[in-house]
Amino acid sequence: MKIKSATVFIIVIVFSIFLILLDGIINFFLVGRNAQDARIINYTGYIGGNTQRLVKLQLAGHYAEVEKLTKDIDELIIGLVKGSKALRLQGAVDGAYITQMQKVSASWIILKQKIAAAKNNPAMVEDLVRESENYFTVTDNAVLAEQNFSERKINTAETTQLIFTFSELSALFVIAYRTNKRFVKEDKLVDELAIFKAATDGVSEHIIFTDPEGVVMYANKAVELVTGYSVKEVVGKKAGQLWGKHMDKGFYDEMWKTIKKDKRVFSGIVKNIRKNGESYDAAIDISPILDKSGEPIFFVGIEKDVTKDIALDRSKTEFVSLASHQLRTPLTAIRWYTELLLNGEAGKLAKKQAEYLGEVSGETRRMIELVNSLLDVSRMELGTFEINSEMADVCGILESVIKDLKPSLIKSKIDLEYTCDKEIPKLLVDIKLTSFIFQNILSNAIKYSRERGVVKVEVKLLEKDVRVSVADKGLGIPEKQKKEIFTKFFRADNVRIKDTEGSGLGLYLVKTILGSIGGEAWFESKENVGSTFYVSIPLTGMKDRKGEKSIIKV
Amino acid sequence: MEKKKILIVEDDVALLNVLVEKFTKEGYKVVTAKDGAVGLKTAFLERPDMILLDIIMPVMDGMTMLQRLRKDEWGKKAAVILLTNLNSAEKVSDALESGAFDYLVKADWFLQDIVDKVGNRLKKK
Repeated sequence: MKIKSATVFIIVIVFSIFLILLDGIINFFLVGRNAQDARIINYTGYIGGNTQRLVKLQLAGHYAEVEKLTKDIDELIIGLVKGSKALRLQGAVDGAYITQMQKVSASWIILKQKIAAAKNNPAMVEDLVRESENYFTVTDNAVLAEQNFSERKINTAETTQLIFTFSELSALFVIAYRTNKRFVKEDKLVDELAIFKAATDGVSEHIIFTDPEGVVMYANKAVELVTGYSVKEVVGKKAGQLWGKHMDKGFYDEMWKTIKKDKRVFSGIVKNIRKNGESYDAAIDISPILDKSGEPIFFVGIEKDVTKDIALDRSKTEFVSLASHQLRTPLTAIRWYTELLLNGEAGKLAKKQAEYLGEVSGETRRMIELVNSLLDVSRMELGTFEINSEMADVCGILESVIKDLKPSLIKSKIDLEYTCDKEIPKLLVDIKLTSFIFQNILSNAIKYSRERGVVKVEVKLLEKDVRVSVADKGLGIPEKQKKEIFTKFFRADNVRIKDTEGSGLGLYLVKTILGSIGGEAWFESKENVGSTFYVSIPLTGMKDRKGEKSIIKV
Repeated sequence: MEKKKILIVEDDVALLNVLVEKFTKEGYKVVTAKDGAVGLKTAFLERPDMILLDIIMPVMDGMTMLQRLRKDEWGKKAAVILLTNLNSAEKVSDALESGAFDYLVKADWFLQDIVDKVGNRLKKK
């Protein structure tokens, strides 16, 4: 039977080829046409059975979407088809490996956090459902996943389940959060995360990370202690939505402009309200974290409860205020008795007696001035001073101040030249405050001028403000001390001998008043040549301000 | 010329003495009270031509005394100058609303100027 072996051989070959082809054909049908599908096979677990193939087939066309959603997270994802067995898609169990922690999109993190938060909160589940038609949560099947996943045991303390629906396909994905400490030890990346969490949970400052829109992605433990809201309540909402929003709109506008547009750190003090209704003051610092192209990818906000510090500062200022008031009574007594003595109402005075009493009288009045200034400063710092604005002629106010200063002009033999732009409109200003500012700057110019000097005063109308300049050719300000000119009680070295009167608080008050109405005060000066002080009052004028007390003596 | 009567309500003894001293020298008949309660009683009793009223006082403060004074027929028209070391815009408007003629911060005034002011006020009446 010679011919038979050749035939058999051919038949075998053909049959083999047929089998190979058949296998290929079968595979082809089963797993689809894309190269991607080969990956599915590699990825998936080994729970076998027809179901697996069925799942593979069904997922094949949608794997790209699934992959896009899941590729950047490190949690274990198990795919489960309804009613069937677990199918591992990605992730690691038992410390085998963790996918690389790549740049994670903020929205995915939020989604995960929302899901975690929604686990026990049916209302939130509904919200999530409403937000996307592509997913919703169920419970209980995690246990099923554990039981059916026979290859390795999943030790997870928390699981959350999502159902993603892609047209015809329904698959249940279990996202298992790695909370079991055993895993944490074996995995370096999770270790770092744990260290980070331990560190941020250990500080007393409230720390939050938000996305570029201000939605909280992460909040440390201190947030709970400070705001009274739990981390779960906070994450997923806009920062401050629960405890903030008690400052005026301008504050928040400025904040957003600084961190988003200017991309700089914003620092400020805010008033917040805790969950229990208690209000508190917080010092906040918000830093934008920028990506390579310079755009913010998230914001880091750190808040410190400074209520006690502010209260302490306030009580110190109130003490100064109280003490100053108390000082006035004995000072008044000294002043009046001295006055009576000087008037000869207790008998005629010898020349020397009158002279000495004159000194006492002068010093007493100096003390009274100081007390008045201390009270003004306290009111400024406590924010209790009042602004009562009316439409007034700024030049008129200046002229009135100059008139009052005539005696000292004559005494110091100073010539005052004064010009005022014709077109300056009436401005909405507090007349007393404006007079105070002018009086201060002018009396300084006179005080520090040389004898027979000239002081030039100009009032100009500019685009956004009215600018008053007072120029003297006096002692000037030493370069090194320029930055202290507007500070409390400051007296430059070169004038200390000349000027023994005055409280040293005038310029501090001028600068502070102008600062609080949107104006400005500054100067140019050269030692031994002279100084020019500038005051800028915005054309918008001074906003009325309710306070407890008027800053200027009534 | 009949002496004008002036009531000084002030709790600080030193200040009260110098005020009494000065106004007596200036030819006024002076009556005094060291708190608002006594001040009120004395005002109704003596019916002074002018009342110099301090604000911060024990028992009853100056503003309360002024308000109570204004509830009386005679008190409604009594001449009052608030003489205090408190400067408060609120208090000023309260004072003026209660019909005080003036609000003077003691420490900022010469005694003679206070005397002159009282004299001017009385002349206007």
